[in-house]
Amino acid sequence: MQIKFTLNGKEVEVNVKPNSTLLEVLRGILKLTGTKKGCARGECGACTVLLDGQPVCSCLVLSPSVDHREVVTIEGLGTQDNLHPLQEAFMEYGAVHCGFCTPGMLLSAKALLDEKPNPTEEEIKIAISGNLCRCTGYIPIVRAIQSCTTENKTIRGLDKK
Amino acid sequence: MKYEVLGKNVKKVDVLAKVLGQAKYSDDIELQGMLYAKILRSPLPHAKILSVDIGKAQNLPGVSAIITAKDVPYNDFGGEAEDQVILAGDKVRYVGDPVVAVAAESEEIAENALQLIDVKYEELPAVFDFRDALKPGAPKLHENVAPVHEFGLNWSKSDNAPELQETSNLKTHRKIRVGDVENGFKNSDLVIQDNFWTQRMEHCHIEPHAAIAVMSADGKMTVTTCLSMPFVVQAQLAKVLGIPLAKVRIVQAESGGNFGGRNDMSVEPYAALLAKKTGRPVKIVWTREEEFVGSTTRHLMYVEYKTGVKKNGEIIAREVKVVSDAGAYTSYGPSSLAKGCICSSGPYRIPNFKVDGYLVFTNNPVGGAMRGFGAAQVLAAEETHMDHIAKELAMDPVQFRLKNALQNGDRSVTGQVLHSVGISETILKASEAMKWSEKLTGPEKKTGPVRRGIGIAAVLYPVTITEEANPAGAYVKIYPDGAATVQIGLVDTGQGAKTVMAQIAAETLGMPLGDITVVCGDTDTDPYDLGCVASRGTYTNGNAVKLAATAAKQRILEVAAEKLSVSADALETANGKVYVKEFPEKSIPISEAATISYHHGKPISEVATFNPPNTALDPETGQGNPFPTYAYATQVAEVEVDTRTGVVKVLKIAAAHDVGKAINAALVRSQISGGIGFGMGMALLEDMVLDQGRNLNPNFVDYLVPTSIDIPEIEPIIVEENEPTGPYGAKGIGEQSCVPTAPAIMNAIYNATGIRLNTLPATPDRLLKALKNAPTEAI
Repeated sequence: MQIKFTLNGKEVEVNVKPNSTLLEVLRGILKLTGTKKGCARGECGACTVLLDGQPVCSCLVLSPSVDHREVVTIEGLGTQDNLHPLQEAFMEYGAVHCGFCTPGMLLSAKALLDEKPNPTEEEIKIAISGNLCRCTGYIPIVRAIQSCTTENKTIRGLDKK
Repeated sequence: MKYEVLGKNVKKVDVLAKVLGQAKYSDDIELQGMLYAKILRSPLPHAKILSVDIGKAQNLPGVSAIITAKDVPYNDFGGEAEDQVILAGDKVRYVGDPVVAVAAESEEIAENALQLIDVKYEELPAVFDFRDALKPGAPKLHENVAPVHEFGLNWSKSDNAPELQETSNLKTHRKIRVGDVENGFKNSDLVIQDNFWTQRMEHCHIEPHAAIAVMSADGKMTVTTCLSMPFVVQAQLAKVLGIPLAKVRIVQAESGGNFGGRNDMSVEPYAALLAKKTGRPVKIVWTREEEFVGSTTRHLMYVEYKTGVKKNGEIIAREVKVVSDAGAYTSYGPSSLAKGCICSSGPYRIPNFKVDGYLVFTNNPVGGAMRGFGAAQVLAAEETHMDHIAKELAMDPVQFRLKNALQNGDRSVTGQVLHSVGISETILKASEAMKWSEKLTGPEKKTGPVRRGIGIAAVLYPVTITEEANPAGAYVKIYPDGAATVQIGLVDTGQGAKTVMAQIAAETLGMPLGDITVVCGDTDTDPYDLGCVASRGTYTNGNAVKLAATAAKQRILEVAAEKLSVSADALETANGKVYVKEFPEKSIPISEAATISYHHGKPISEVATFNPPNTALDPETGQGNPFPTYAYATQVAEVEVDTRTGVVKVLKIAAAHDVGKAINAALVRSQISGGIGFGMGMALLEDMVLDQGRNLNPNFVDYLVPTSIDIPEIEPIIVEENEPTGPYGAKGIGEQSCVPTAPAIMNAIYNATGIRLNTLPATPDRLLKALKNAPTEAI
């Protein structure tokens, strides 16, 4: 069936199988491989995209349900010449090791900051609690997100020599 | 020593592509005509294969090829013994053992094809507990495993030691003997005994195993995958395919995490064999369930400790027994057992020492390499045991450890003279950071339902692979424009190897970091390297890079010397320039020296190799130099235990790690936080639950890995006990970061509640049960 939706700000029209997931459509049909497949069961968050601004596991979203809606993937967050502040912060704070959880993490973080520009550390941790990371121990990621709050909190510990 | 580039917090080199979502992992790559492969696995833990009927599956439209054991030119493989098979032919030995592989036009068709394959099994008796596997008459997993004689373990106070005159599920027996433990115990004022169980764990790197294989017309097999040891797998795969090594090319895709889960050949042979058979590229990607069922695990271990001490806290004698559950195949069981045995002394001086380690086959998932590699399990037992002794001595756990801590010049239990021993400094710094003396109140004094406690664990962790040669190599090229390329055989699986090597090269050459490019990840062109394992990356590859860069720098100096009319030893490099030491204004850019050399027909290209002089241990005494050096670490944890629910909240961990020299301090600190996250899973959350060899929790809902809300406040402390044989004094960090965490938390739980659990993980139900049964004084 045909679905039409806004993807990273542009209208797209795709022919999809009714039982396909948004993750399958993004990676398999639209060839956007920035969104990752970690478990295909909604348990790891590597496939996180924004659906109407809300972070969702795209492996749990049936593609027909995004008809006439807005999807943002990692490819829509920023470009090399125009990085999103979160992308810059992740690079600066050592929040990217293997990088597999990174696209999902960035989008969960963006959704949080779009709704709450000044979250507490606890709110940040809760916002990314659905994104599993095995490499960093989360702390550099939390610090990176914190550095993007409007208050620009001072970061303790990890950047001191 | 003032460095230009080392020790600075420079940005990791490969992160831009990752934050943009442009990094290409194996599953992101698509090739024209690509097929998709799936594996049919055994549903039984131990069975003979009577027949395999692939007829219906072969006729399914879209199925391109199906392979079974007879299609594999050389079916045997394994990290340390070729007792594992690519596709089971005569029997299966664990639930998940691969039997058939299918290539089809889509993943869905391949999965449907698996459903149509009919395998008939004759179930065999199986063993799931190593105690059963060691009994006389136990079902035998493998032929040709040498029988071993009695070795009297005391399983528990109630069980009798099994009579084990002969058993054929015992794969390995390792020994270390120092002095006379029996005499030592006689001369001790106090002898304490403990036993401890650790759990089966899964690596859970977020990127599943995935590979793409392509065979070219001239018979060259290229496999794009994510491995920790590409050259090792190149050799294994060449053997499986029956082709020369030079006909196998392993290309490393962007790597989505490792932790030991990428050590074994896993997806590659299926993709390769099917690519060969179909003449088309074949991609294979494991499901998350396959990650739990088909990948290797951390070895479940049982450890017994007996230590004799004087009243003043001096350790006189220690006897250890380690039993490691290998699962169905050998993989990296023997050397992880060896590392565990060598580290079973803990970071302490022990004049009389005896360890016996045993590796036993069971019909469980295969144990393999996992961060900490045997030492993580044994040291969890050892450090909780140390705390028990301190309690019996009525001694401060910090003071007890300091009293026995190794120092420069002491010998390890393998008889090796130790240097760069930073253990005491790590103990002092970590305990100071947590205000240990202020917070140390015994559990007897704690009241109320929610209690806080602190605990310490001090460990040693070896650098590089046990007892073996494990070389690294490096090529350094300086271009006429003054930029340089460094090529290594080590792969970067996210830990930052490329960044660290760039820093070492930049510092050695005297060039800005931005002028250095590090390349790696192709067995066709890289120098040989054993792999990204055993915390060896910085030490071995750093040394190779430093040697090659030093040689390249010397070439630059010689050319510049002629140009500047001075002798080469009057020159130095810095910031991309070669200058006269006494008159720094007299200089030329490195690019000019490189260009001159080029025009003379001598482009600057140098190669170097480095191999640590590891020796094998004597099989009877365990004496030898299995590693070039050790790193040391101490973590102190503060926990809060709710005695009503058994839930443990880790409030803060101070982690002091002796890394020799931090080439990149920010990367070291993030390894520490990552390692603590990993260790917390071992302490509190992770447990692969099996029932008759079947995995009951092969998913993230029931197998809990730490999330962002589980992580405590972490204070990473870098200790630099210079390693003279390391590049700029560096040792390693990759694994030691996760090793002290579990025992530190266990000891903190004791300090909070008076409960000393001897089984990992410390789940709420275990804690509640222990609290319920605890003597009333502790509540």
